[in-house]
Amino acid sequence: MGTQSDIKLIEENGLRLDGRNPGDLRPIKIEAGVLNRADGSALIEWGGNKVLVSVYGPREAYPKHNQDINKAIVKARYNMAAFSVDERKRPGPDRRSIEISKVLSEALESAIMVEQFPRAQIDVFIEVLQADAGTRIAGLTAAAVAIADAGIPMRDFVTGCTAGKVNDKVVLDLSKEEDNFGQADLPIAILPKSKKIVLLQMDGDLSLEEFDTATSMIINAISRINEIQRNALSAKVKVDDAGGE
Amino acid sequence: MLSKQPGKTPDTYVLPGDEVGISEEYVPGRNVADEEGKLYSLAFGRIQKDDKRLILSVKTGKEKLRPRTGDIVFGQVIRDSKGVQTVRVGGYADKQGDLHEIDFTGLIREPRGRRDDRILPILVGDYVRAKIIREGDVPELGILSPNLGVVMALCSNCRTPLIRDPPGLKCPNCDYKEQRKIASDYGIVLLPREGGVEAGSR
Repeated sequence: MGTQSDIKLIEENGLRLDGRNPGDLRPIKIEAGVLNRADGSALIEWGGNKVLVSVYGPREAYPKHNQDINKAIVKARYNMAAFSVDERKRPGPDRRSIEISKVLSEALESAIMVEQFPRAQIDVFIEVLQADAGTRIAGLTAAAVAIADAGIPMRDFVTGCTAGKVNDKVVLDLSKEEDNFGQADLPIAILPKSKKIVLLQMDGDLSLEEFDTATSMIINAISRINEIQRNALSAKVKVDDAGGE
Repeated sequence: MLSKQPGKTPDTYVLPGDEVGISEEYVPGRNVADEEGKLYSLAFGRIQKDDKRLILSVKTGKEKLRPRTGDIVFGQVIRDSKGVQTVRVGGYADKQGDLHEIDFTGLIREPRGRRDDRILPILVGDYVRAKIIREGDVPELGILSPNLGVVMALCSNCRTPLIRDPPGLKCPNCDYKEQRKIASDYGIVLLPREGGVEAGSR
């Protein structure tokens, strides 16, 4: 959550600064298999976010002392490009990206059939090319598509969305201004089939009622986002069958 | 998902979490899970039904091909450094004789202690047929058998494909003569199970 301010983020007619209703998502576009050298890849454009994800593995885990004899380890690396924000971001990992990498690894690990690959590791590189609030969720949503594209067995997709509180109103899918000047931010990721929550973080304050409202808004949105994920893979099949590869 | 109905026909693509059948009809195979009597796909791929053994599996098309020792590979020399040639391998023939597309880098080392004029060179840009003699992250390749070695080479002067001119090779454009460790079928490469594909100039 950024600085609180008296900036008006919701107009009198109930619309948000970008003209959306409180329950509207920003436009989402996912393309699978965008990189030839990676085992799996996906590019997501979610509002102003542009995130490229590549997946390598399963392959033998290095260093060897990191190997788990029962399952594969999932190593997600979330990284923001220096040019992804208005002011140049100092390249390399920082506290925020290390934390996000950890929670994304855990979220993905709960969906991947890691038990099938003992002593292996699966690398997921999440590169934020352009940031516009909700990059961790955009990255996670694209990572699930990239993992499926890599042919790695998964129980289900991982699909995420954010909600938050802006001018005392609960809204879905915060934009950059709403994220910076709003009162709360709640990113959630779910396995759509089992409805199991695999990532939940909260910044700011929400009452119990507001939390329930935000959660149900996210769960509703997730079925729409999951359809976009599935369509991205189906579209790839159609291109391949038409000889586009 | 391309089809949401269970009991899909073969060659149908499915996504993780899609219902693909029921356990009364099929046993779950690769990339398929049984959950309360229903079979679900675990991967993005094609359904494969084995009606003889009643196994239902999902083939991803991303299974990694791993060349083994003894497999024959085809590639191009991309670097030559201190007697070690780096080869970008583009295809390999397994022991059954099937040809597969693959992309990895291998090394050809000059035999130790045999560095003399009798060993003919291979140069950057040459296309070679080699045998995997050691597996690993960077497999080691051998070219010493008569059927292994350069299958097509370019002239060092003008980059025209060289033709055979026993005992060596000759450029048909500038008449420049060169030596290579050539394969016995230099110029006319017979690819396994492909019925003789002409890769060279003659």
